[in-house]
Formats: sequence, structure tokens, C-alpha cells
Amino acid sequence: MVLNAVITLTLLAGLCGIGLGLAGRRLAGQRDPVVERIDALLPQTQCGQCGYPGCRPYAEAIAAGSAPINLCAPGGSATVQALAELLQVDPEPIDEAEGNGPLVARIDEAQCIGCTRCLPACPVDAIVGAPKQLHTVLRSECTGCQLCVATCPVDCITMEAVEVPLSSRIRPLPTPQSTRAEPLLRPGPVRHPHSEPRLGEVWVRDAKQTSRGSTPTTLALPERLILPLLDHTGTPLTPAQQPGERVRRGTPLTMPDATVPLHAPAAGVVEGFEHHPIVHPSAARVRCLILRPDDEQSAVLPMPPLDPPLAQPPQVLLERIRQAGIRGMGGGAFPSALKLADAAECGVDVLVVNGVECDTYLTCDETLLCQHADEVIAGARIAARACGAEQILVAVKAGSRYAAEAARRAIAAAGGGIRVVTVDALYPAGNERHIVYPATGRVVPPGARPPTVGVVCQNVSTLYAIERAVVHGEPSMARLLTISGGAAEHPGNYWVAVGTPLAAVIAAAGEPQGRILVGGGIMGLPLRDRSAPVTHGMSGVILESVAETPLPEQPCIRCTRCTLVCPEGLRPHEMVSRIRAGVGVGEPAPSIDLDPLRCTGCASCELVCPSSIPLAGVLGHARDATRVRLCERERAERARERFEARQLRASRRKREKEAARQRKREAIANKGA
Amino acid sequence: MGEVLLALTPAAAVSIWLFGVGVALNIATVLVAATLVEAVAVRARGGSVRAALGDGSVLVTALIIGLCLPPLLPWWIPALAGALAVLLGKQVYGGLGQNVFNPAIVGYVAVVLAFPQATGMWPAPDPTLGAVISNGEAWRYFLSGELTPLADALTHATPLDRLATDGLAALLAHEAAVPGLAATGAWTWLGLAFLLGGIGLVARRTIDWRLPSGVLIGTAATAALFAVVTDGAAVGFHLLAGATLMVAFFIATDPVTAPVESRARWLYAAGIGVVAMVIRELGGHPDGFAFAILMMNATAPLLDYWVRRSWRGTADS
Repeated sequence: MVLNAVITLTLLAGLCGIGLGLAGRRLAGQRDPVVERIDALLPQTQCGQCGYPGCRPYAEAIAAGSAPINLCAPGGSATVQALAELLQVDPEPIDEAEGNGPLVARIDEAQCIGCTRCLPACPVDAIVGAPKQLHTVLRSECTGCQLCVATCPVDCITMEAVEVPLSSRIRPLPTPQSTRAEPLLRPGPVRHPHSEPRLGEVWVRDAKQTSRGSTPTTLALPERLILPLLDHTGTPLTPAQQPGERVRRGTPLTMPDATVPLHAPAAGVVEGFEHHPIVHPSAARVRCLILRPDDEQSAVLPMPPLDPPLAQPPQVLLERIRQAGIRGMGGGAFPSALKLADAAECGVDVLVVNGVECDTYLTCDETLLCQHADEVIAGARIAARACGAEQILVAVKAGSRYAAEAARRAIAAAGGGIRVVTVDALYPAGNERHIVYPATGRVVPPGARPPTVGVVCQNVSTLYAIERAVVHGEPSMARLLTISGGAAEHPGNYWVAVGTPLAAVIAAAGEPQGRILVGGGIMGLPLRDRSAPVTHGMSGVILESVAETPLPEQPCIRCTRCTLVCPEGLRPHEMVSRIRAGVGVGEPAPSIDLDPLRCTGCASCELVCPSSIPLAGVLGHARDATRVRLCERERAERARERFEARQLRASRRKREKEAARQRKREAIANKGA
Repeated sequence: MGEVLLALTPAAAVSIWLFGVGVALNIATVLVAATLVEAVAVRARGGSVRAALGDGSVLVTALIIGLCLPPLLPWWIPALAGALAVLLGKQVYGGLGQNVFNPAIVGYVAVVLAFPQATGMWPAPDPTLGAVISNGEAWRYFLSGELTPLADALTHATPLDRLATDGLAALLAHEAAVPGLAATGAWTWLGLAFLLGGIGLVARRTIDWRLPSGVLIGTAATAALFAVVTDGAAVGFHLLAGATLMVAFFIATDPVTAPVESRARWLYAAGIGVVAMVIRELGGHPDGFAFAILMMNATAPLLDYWVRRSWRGTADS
């Protein structure tokens, strides 16, 4: 009996063992060789500071176990951490003192003697020059490895820190407290009696009444204007003035080659340049020009009006829009000239005037349409001519009746030919990708922009600025800004000069009680530093009352409301749990409905979340991280390609030299024979 | 959570009306135990006790367990159910939103398996019960666990017990003896009370209508199949008896333990009905919904994955 059991069990165990062994061999995963994976983590500066000739040899040495993982100075502790994780060992402290950021070599051209010694030292061919000519470093290709510094006989190569561009800063993961407020106390989603929540449809109860109706007033100029020297990509702009120089109102403050020039919003003296906080998700400080306005406000404008505007060729109009420094004033701040030129290239036929402010508080576009409908319509005609659109549609929200009436009156006065379309008060109807369908009936494919279906959208405020620039020759220097919220004592719309510190705006609005949101009630960013300036794309400042302040976050119960409302078809709750667990942040998404790069940041998910989870902030963090990681990968890949090309060239030269020597030797031998 | 509590009120009221003070004692005991364990566990995990208790999820769990358990029990059984529900059903996974299995059902199943005799003892549903088993006797049993002969005599087989042990013929004979109502007798009122609350939740869009529909369809289809093939009980009986309506509207609809894709939700809900019917008709346990819920909870992530892969073409790696 016992023997039977023992035999049976032994046979069974043996069979299972054989099965497992076979399965293990058959199903073994095809994993990358470890060298490839180590190499992928190295920064590809090819600097050789580790003692190996390039990143790949070092990776091979690590894989063979003959090199410690902490030799990579340019990669810093982040690389050591990543390597330790990959190889399942404890991270060791880095050998070199950690640098304070990326460095780039610079050759002092006054001292360079043109000796070409630094040229072969560069592992990625980033130095160009010829004997007895000045050498220069290709800044975009320099990996900051410092190998050239020692080779220079006159010590004219220095390493200088490069400013981290705004686009490579990552916003922090939101803390559980920084969430939206009690839904019953502040505007938010309402359950529509007849609709299931559907893709991109959140019915919002708005609080526009707070700031609606009053005539806009102009906010007094502050003592200092702070103008961030940044273009739309976050790359620094070069200032045209020196500290102490006087500028007139409307003088360009940047070099003429800038994609979007910046203009002095007031006459005054350039006080200097300093790093100053701006409104940005990553709480960044950027280089700003400080302008001290004085009393002499001249009326002289730097650009002559274009008359008649509609008879000008599109190129002239586009150039004027660029020169006037007009940026998308709906919030995106993308240069309008680029957008219109791109639209012209795509061959658009419809221009949609975007007057749908889907935010819950903002009324600046509505007010502008009520007060200056003639100018907006004229601006729309100019923009349509600049991009070649034949048809113009004005889209307004169902609730803003006066704006629609004003637009109709202005159209009738200007000779008609423009249609006014009313769209439902759904969030995010004002997003340019979402407005296209209700306005024109065309469907923008996922991930594409409206020009792909022949539509270009322009915000009402932008069109007003275009009209000012073309008809009056006035650059974009001020904007209409909504001040609203439960704590705002004087809610309404104000004309504010660009560069005005938000502290001055808030002082005009009243005493803040809770958070201050900049940009709107739904997508707005909480203000961290009140000295940050007003920019072109800033449409509102919301002062939350105590009742509107955020609720603490609660656990996700996977109710999937966020999935139902996401206009991009993402699964926010799953993405957030992955991101918070640190799974796959900065890596390519496992599937398209988990890809943070597809998130537009509309915050619909956050609006409907019953647990007040800061979904939009978490997704924004992952989006930033992924974008930055992609950029880094691309840069490393380029450096590796250049390094490999260089090595290939070196070996070819060596072969050729060898061949030549061989031929010579043979020739001598032949002669001797 | 507030809306779910509100929707459970009619069922709680009917239950107390039918079974007397014991139901209220059960609910209160489960609530006290669950709250204590929740507070201790959340504190141990370093969370905010106030936030954890403030969301009302413990209250819903307590109410569901209290309504699942028979009305006459010694206090340690509901207390254990509440404690295990919170501890093993929820907190060990990381708290609300992280659990795989429905906490209330985990607690219920634990005590059903641990105390089969006590938890299998249901008195006849009768509004006049209070007159037969006095509140004093109910209290005494609740505190000491000693059965008085009177209560013992009153203990009666539920329609499902009858079906499981004696077969359909006995059930039908019993129906003939209790005219006026369906075979489920006064239990029907309880079922209808759950239905009322559930319809309210569906109308308010608090719960996804697919889940209750799926459970009812799965139950009805399987019951119909059994009625034809093995001569099982009627479809209407299965829909009204036992926990069918409660599970359909209040337990299968828990978003945490259900799948998220709509098609996966249909499969999940129908699966609950099918498994429960198979256990009812073929298994030894009188009701199979608790086990069906746990089984389908375990498959929920797989259903999501499978639906995404085969219908949406997007699967996670």
C-alpha cells in the first residue's frame, strides 16, 4: 500500500519535472542580450571617462562583471540607479562629483589659434574647424563629455552650463490634497437626465454669471513689467536691448529673427534680466526681461497700418501677424502666424472663430465678442485671407446669447457671408479638436489636428489681436482677462498689460481665501508664486472661496466614469494607478488607451471623478516624463550614430593607409626583383 | 455610498419587519466590529482613519452582511463576519479600491463555512414572529448563544433549503400549503424591497444597469435550462428566492470588484447568474450566489483583458 503510494508519487513527480523542464526550454523568453539593455541605459556621450573607449565597451564590461556600475560620470546617479535596477544590485555612489546640470563646451574665439587638436578628441564630431581657422562647437551635438578641454594648448575651451529648456521640465506628481473641490459647491459636472456620460461629453454647471455683463476696465500699469524671454517651444529668446535702454510702447524687445517677437507693453526703461517664476506646471523659473514703465506714454506705433487689409497678399498678412507677436490667446500661446501658415499649406477651406469658452468661469471671449464683435469679424476675415479659407463660421456656446446676437449684428453690418453656429454647453467643447464636429460636421481623426480635415480654428481674442495688428499696426501687448471665483470681490473682465505681475491682478480682484487658479476653473493651474507675470495665453484668474477649496482625495473605486468621458478614449484611472506605482513612467505605453502622450490635459476625467483624484495632474506628470525621456533617447541615439560613424571613418582610414603601405612595399619589392 | 445606503433602507426595513430585532442586532454588531477593525488596520497602514470611515463604505458592507445573515445568531458570528470582511476582504489588499473580492461576501462566506449550523438556521419569515420569539429571547440568544427550545422549534427551512434537501416536489407541496404568494412565500417581500432600491440606483445612474441585467438574464436563462432539462424549479422562483435580487443590484454592482469594460461586465454578471444556478440546482449548498460572486470576482481582471484583446484590439503587455 505504502509502496504503491511512493511509486505513484515518484512517477508523478518525475513526469511533472520532465514537463516543466521541457516547457522551460520551449517557452524561454527571447530577452534582449544584457549588453544591449545596459547600453540603452548609458547616456551615449562616448566620453570614455569610465576608462573604456565608448559606451558600448563599458556596457560589455559591466555585463562581463569586470567593471563597477558607477563609472559613468555624465549619466550621474540616475544612470547608476537605472543600472542597479536592471542588474538587481545595490546602487553604488557615483565616482565623480555630480554636476549641476547639462554642460556644453564653448571655444573662446578670441583665443583659438586654429590648431585642430580638439577636433579628433571629440567622440561625436561636434567640433568643426580647419587648420588656422576658428573652431566652433555644434551646441546641439555636444554631449558635454569634456574630452576636448584638456587637448587645447591655449586653454580656450570652457564648459558652460546650458539652461534646461522649459520643455524638458517635468511637473511634480500631485499630492493627494491638491484636488478639485466639493462638486455641490463649485461649478462642475451635472448629470444630464437623458444622457449616459459619453465620449467627450461632460455637462457642466457654470459660474459665468459671476464675471459676466460688466464693461471691461483697464488695469493700471504696475511698477515693474516682467516679460519671460521664451518662445512657444520653451527655448530662450535673445533680447534686443541692453539694461538701462529706454524703449517706447510697442518696441520689439527681441531680435528680429524670433518666431514670435515680444513687444514692450509700455514705454519705459529696461531694468535688466533676472530669473523669475512663471506660471508653469513644473514651477519653473525662467529668464525674464524687467521693464520699468514711466509716464511718457507715446501714442506712436512702430508698424504702419496695412490698408486696405483684405487687399494684401496672404504672405504680407502672415508676416505682419508674426511681427506683431500674436500668440494663440485661448490658452495655448502657439504663434498664430505659424498656425495660419500651416493651415494654408494644408489647404484649409473653413475658418472657425472659436467663441466657445467651455470653462466654468471664463467670460473674456464672450465679453470681447459682445463689445468688439466688429473687430473680431474683421480679424476673422483677415485670418481667413491669410490662410486661404473661403468659409468663416463663428461658434458660440448655447448659453451666451448676447455674444451670438452681437456677432450676428456685426456680420450683417460687414455684409454677411458668415454663419453663427451655436454648440451645446458640453465640456470640452471649446477645445479646437472638439469644436470642429458641431461647427462643420467634419470629424477630426484621433491624434490629428483640425487642418487635416480642412478646418482651422482661431480664438476670439486672437482674432481681435490680429485686427489690431493689421488694421491699426498695434502689436500684441495686452489681453482681456477674466477675474472670477467665489472670493473675487470685483469679478469681471479687465484689460491687462502682458507682463503685469499676478499680484497686481489679484490686488484688484480682492482678498484671496483659498487657491488661486490661473487659466480657468477646470484646466487652470494653482498659482504658487504671485509675482509670476500675466502672459498672452492667460485667460483668467480664479480666486476660490473657502467653499470651493479642494476636498481630500479618496481611493479609486474603478467606477470608470473617467474612461467614459475621456475625449481621447484613454483609461485615466488605470493610467493613474500605473503612474503612481511607478510602472512604465517615461516608457512607451503598452497600448494606445494607456498612452499619456495622447492626453490633452482637458481634465474631463478629474471633473467627473467622485473620489476627487487629481487625474489630470498625474497624467500631466507622466506626459512630461515621457516626452523628456523620448527627447533624451533621441539625443543619445544621435550621439551614438555620430560616434559609430566616426569610428567607421577611423577604421576605413586605417585600412586605406595600410593598403597604401602594402602597395608601396610591393612596388619596392617588384623594383628590387 | 449615501445613495446605496438609501437604496438598502427598504430592504432593511422589510427584513426587520419580517424577522424582528435580530436583524438590527446583526447589522449593529457587524458595523461595530468592521469599524473597529477598519480603524486599527488603517492606522497600522498609516492612513487617515477619519477619511477611511468617512466614505461610508464600511456602513454599506455592514448593512449587506447584516441582511445576508440569519436574524438569530450569537453575537460573535456577525462580529467575526464584519471583522473578516474588512480585514481579509479589503485591508490586506491595501484598502478601499484595491480589493479583488467583494469584502461583504468574503466576511459572509467565512462565517457560513465556519458556522454552518448556526448560519443555516432561518426562522419563518413572519411579521408576527416578534410575538412568538420575544425580544428578550432574541437578546438572550444573541448574547449567550444558548438556544431556547422555543426558538429551536421555530426554525424552519427556507424555500431554497427545501429545494436542496427535499427536492422540487416538497417545495411545491409547501407552496400549496401557503397559498397566496409565490413559492418563496413572505421572502418575496424582501426580494421586492431589494428590487425597489436597485431600480432607484439604476435610475440615478449610481450603478451600471448592465450588471443587474446581466445577473438576472444569466440566472433566468440557466434556471430555464434546468427547468427543461433536469426538471428544476421555475424561473420566477429562482429570481425571487434567496439572494438573487440582492446580488443583482447591490453586490454584483460593486465597481471595485467588477470588470471595467462593458462587454466584460455583461460576461461577469451573466457568469454570476450561471454559476449560482448551477450550485443551487446541482450543488449541496442551498444558495450559490456568494460563491458565484467570489468566483467571478477572481475572473474580473481576466475578462477585462480578454475583452480588450478580442474586441478592442488593445491589450496591456
